[in-house]
Amino acid sequence: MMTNFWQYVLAALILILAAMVVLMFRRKALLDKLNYVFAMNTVIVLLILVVGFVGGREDMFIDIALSYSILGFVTSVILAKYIGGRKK
Amino acid sequence: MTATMIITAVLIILGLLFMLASLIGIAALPDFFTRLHAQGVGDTLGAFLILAGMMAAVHGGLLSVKIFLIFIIIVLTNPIGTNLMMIAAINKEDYLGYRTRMSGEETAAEYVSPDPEPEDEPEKAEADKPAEEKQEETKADKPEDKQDKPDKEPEVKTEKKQAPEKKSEGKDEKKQASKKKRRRKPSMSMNKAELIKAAENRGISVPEGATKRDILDLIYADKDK
Repeated sequence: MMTNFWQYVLAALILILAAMVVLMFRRKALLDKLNYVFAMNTVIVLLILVVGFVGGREDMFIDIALSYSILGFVTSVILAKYIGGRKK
Repeated sequence: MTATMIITAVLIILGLLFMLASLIGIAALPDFFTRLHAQGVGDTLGAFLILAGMMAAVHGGLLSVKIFLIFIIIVLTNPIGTNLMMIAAINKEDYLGYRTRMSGEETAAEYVSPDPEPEDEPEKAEADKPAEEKQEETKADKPEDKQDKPDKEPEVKTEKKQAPEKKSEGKDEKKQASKKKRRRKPSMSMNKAELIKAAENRGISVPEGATKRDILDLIYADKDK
């Protein structure tokens, strides 16, 4: 019963993620793409957690999600700094 | 079908709805800053609801604390990342069309490589005029005093002011303040000494007896080239 529910949640998150990837490549501006990447980071963290719930190994996947969220944040911040540059 | 299952299901479905709303917002909203808003707000709330549902699903305990840690990280980092992206967008040369939009002109559809528009800036400076008058009313008389004196003395003063700030780099706040001062664009809200200094930094010689308006015109005429 509950495993079924987590599978549906997993499917919904994957659909959202796929839509984000497709829409990201349709944008032309760089910062818009960065915005999508940052949104995808949150979705991927949730996705990792839900994968853990589907397989019944949530204790392991929670640690992975924890480290992934921090890594994704660092990536986005450095990319934003790199793209934005300095004001003259 | 226990109570925890119902709570989990309700929270996670609500969270998924919010994620979907944020996705629609990012895809459909017309402007970069509004898309940024949709992402920052919608994603944070959606992630919060989904993680709350997961915390209910693991029945408390250590795992729940770990999920709460993930929640704290997301809630802290998502708005910070959104803010940094916004600052990166504003710091770009053309304000990503922000300035053209504010002046009522036709906006470029794509923000990829529009030309910088120096014509706007004198208008902006004119718009700043009343603000400057208000500032002069509210502030102490110090800036006015500087204007009254001959040009050479205030320059020396500002140089002396900036020198100790550079020395005390240990304090981050002072460093940032000096950075902000350096980054300010020349406009009518600056006093005369600052404007002269800004002009000299750009390699423009200021004639004696020039008003603030003249100095600004010189600076932005030089930018056109």
